[in-house]
Amino acid sequence: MSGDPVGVLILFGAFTVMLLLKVPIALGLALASIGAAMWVDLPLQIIGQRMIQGLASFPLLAIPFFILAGEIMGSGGISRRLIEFANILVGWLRGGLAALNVVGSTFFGGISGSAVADTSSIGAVMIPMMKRYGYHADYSVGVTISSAAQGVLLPPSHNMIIYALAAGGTVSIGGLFAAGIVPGLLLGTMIMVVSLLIARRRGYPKGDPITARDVPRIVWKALAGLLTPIIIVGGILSGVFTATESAAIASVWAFVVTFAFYREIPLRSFIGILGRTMKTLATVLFLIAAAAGFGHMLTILRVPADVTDFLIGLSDNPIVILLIINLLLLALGAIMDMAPLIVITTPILLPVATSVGMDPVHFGVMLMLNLSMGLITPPVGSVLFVGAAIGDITMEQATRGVLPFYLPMLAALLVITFVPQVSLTLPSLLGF
Amino acid sequence: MSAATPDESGARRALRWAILGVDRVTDLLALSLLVFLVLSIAWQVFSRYGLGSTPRWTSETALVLIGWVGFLGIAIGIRERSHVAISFVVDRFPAGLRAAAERLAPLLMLLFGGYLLVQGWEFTVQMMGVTLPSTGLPRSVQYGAMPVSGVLVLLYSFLQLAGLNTAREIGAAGEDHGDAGTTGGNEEGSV
Repeated sequence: MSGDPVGVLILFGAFTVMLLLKVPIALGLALASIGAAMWVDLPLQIIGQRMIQGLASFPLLAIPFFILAGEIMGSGGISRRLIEFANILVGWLRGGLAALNVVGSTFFGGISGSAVADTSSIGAVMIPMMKRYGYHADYSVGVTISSAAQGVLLPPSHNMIIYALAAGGTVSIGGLFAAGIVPGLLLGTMIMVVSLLIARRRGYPKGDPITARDVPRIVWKALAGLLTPIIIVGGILSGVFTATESAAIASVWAFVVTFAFYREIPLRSFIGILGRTMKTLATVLFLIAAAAGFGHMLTILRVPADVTDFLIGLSDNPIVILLIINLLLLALGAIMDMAPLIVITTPILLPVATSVGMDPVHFGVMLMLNLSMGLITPPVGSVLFVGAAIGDITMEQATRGVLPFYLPMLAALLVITFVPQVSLTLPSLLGF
Repeated sequence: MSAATPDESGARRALRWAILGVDRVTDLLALSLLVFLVLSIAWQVFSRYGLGSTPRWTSETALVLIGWVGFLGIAIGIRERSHVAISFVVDRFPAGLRAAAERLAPLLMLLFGGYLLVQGWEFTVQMMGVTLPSTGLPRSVQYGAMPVSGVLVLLYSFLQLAGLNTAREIGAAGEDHGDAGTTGGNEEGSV
């Protein structure tokens, strides 16, 4: 066991009490770290210094750019064009609007990497439309939010960068991005199949046919937006840009597309976009900074090593260990949001996973899926809240609507957890 | 900071305008630094591929800027009450207990603001003699974000402790609308 059980108790006890009493999570992390630092007689300044240093990392700079690019694309009419584009592909199916929703989310997830942004922009168009065509509200919300959760796996995803930072800079962002693609598409396909099966049984309508004449215009308009993820992912995977550079280019590109090409919103709305970016960024950066202080105390108190010893002591079977990690992450995801959990659990659970032979990139993909399922799981699920609000239904109804979609998600989780090749083949082909 | 009323005293009105001024300056500073951050990295890429040379100042400057954006963000998030927190436990408390629990967060923020101001200031002063490798600026430029943020955190948590709603709705459609009432959801601001 740890040489300092009291220190560990202060760190986790103080944090848990503050967490339950509605103290902002990042503040709880910072104060608990300061408390533990006092206990082990470290200079108090160390936590503040670690917080500043935690932010001063070049890969981290990609996060503000991704959030900014996502905000610009989300405000400037890209979601509607992506939906029109997806309509060409799957709109003609029975339950076509549901399939459309999933494909639209896949495209959008490839742009913003934020499940909340995905739900609020795709959902704001799709949920009212689906209800108008006779789809049940709870089903519409269920499809929207489960496919939004899928977007977290698809690059670019700022949550993956948070993970790469939390993992201590040893995990390549390019490798992670490449690793998310196949699992993301796999999950999207499974969600779409389930949504179409339900649609067929309930007799939901087919979508409106599109005239062939309109197709080139729709594709052209959507292409400008779709180029954003291509710039980012292509630039990183080919090694031309670093993640940070490609993210900066993407936000400049998103700006040009929105304000010079689409021109749906006036230039002055950029101030509002910046303000919203700042608001999201404030939350994320405080968490990352505080987690750097917390992580320092975890290491000093030897917590990751102890947790690994404890879990390995329970069983030396990797399958059992990975199942325990999954259950733990799903349970934590139900009560906490994604970014805080990434920064808290990565330093503790990644060593456990690597000790049973898991690749850190593979662990990252598994972590993303677990925590994104948490986003749609009550009692606390930010995506569930947003979806229910847009669909104008209660949390209970939204929960019922999302229930059938746990089936494909859990199936995908098992496949992704126990078949490393699903995640790791693409990155190794690309030379990461 | 209730809405302006005719019988509002001069001192109270002056205070309200002073706080509004602080809010504005904070937002302006944070957003300008954010734009500068984007432009410096965009310039780095352009310079590397377009002009064939990587400027030395860009990444170091960006790393200083992100610290400032982050620490100003701590204060802005506290002002807007947008930092992620778990509210479903406290929401189930009886009214009296809940009111007490709601006071805990601002109280702890006050503590944290004090920490940032005092410890951050000391550290900033210590770092006066250390220079950043590329730009040659003192490292205090980077750590100065702590005490500055500390002052703002102290201000906003004090106002919230006094029961005022400090949210300015940064990024909302209509800025600067009235701030009556003390609502403020903590569930938002997730990513």
